[in-house]
Amino acid sequence: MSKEKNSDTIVRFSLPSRLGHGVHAVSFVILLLTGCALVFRGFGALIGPGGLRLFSNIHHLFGIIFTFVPVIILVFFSWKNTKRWLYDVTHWSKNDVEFVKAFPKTFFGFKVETPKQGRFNGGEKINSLLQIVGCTVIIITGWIMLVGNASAEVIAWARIIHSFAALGLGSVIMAHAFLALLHPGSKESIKGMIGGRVSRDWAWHHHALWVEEVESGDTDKTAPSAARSVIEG
Amino acid sequence: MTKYAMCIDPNKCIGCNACRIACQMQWSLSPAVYFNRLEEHVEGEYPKLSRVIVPVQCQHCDQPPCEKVCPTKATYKREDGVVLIDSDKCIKCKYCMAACPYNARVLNEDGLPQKCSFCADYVAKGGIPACVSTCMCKVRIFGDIDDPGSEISEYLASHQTVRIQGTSMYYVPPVKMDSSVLPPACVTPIHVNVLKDVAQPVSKGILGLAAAAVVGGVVLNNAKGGDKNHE
Repeated sequence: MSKEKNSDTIVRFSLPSRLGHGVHAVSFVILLLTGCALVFRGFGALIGPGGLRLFSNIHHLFGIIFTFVPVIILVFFSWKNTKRWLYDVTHWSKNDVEFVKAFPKTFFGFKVETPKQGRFNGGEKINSLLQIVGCTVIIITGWIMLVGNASAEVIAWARIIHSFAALGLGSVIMAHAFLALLHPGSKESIKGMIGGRVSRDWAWHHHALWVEEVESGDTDKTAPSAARSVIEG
Repeated sequence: MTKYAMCIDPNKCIGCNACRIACQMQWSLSPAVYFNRLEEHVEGEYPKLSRVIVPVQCQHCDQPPCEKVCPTKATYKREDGVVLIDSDKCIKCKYCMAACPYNARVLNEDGLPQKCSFCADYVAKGGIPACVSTCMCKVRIFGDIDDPGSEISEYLASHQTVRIQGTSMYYVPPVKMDSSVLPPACVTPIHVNVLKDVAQPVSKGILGLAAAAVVGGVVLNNAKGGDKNHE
C-alpha cells in the first residue's frame, strides 16, 4: 500500500479529546516513574534521598494535574464526545467479545480474522474501563495519603491499594503504548491521538462500523455503532 | 557484644512526666513533640480505685516494622539493638509511623518522624538516657543486658520482670492490675506484611510480565515483518 492513498484521512479525535488524553498520558507516565522509585528500592537508591524528595514533590504536583485537568477538559470542553465515549465503552457487542478473544494473537502479530469494530474495539473498551476504574481508585487513595488526616491504618491500606493499582494500570499502559506506537498493525492509531486524523484505509480495516457511521453522517445519534453491531454480529 | 535494653517498673511511677520533659530538654524538642508518654490505667469503682501509670516509648524492636517499610533505609537497627533514623536519608514518607505497633513516632516541625533513640549518642560516651537519670522514683533502668555485671542485668536477675516479646523492653508486672496494661508483644501489622510481601512483589511481577509481553510483541511482530495493516 502506498503512502499516497493514506492522504485520504478522516477525523478520529477532537482537539479536547486529544488534550485530555495527552495530559492524562503524560502525567500518568511521570507519576508512574516517580512513584516506582519508592517501590523499587534499587531505583530509589540510585537517585538517593535528594532525588526521592524531588520525585515526591513532582509526584504530588502531577497528582493534582492528573486528578483535575483531564476531567475538566473532558467534562467542560468536550462533554458530547465524552458522553459518547462513556456510552461506547460500557456497551458491548458480540463483535467486541470476538475481538478480545482474538486479541492475544494479534498482539503478538499472528494473523486472525476479527469482526468489524465500532469506533472503539473491545480492547480499547477494556483499556478505557480499566483507566476509569483504576484511576478513580488511584486518585482516591492518593488523596487519602496526601491529605493525611485519616488514621494510620487507613493510610497504610490506601498505600497498598494505591501502589498495587498503579503498577497494575502501569502494565496496561505499557501494552497500550506498545500497540499505539510500535505494533505494525495498529500504530497508525497514534496519529489519531496526536494530529486527530487517521487514514481512511486504516480506519476501514480496524473500525469499519465507525467509518460506515461517519460516512453515513449519523454521528450525532446516541445510538452508537455498538448497538448496531449487536444486530450485525 | 553490647545489647541495650530498658526495664520499667510502672508500680513506682507517680506520673510526674519528668521523663518526658527531660527528654524534650535533651533533644531540644518543642512542647508538642515528645518521645515518651505515660499511659494511665484506672480500674474499679470509687472509692475503691486502683491506678497504674505505664511509661511507653519506642520499644527498639528486634525486627522493627518501621525498618521493614522504610524505602530508603533511613530507619535502621544497630547491632547494639538501638533503632535509629538517619535524617539525611529520610524522605518523610511517614511509612514508619503507620507501621509502628506502639505509636512511638512523632512528627517534628520539619515533618521528620522522630522517636526515642535510647539517647544513643550519650550512651556511646558512657552516659545514661535523660529519662532514666531524671526519674526521682527510679522507675527506669537502662543498660547492657549482655554485660552480666550491669545494673540492668543484675536487676533482671533478681526481680520478676516480663520482657515485651520481640523488643528491647522489660517491665515489672503491675501489682494492682493485669499485665495486659503493658505494651503488647511486637507484632508486625498485617498491612506492613501485605505491602512488602504481597502487594509489591505481585504488582512488580505483573509489571514484569507486561514488559515481557511487550518485548515479545516487538520481536514477534518484527519477525513476521513489516507493515501488515490489513490482516
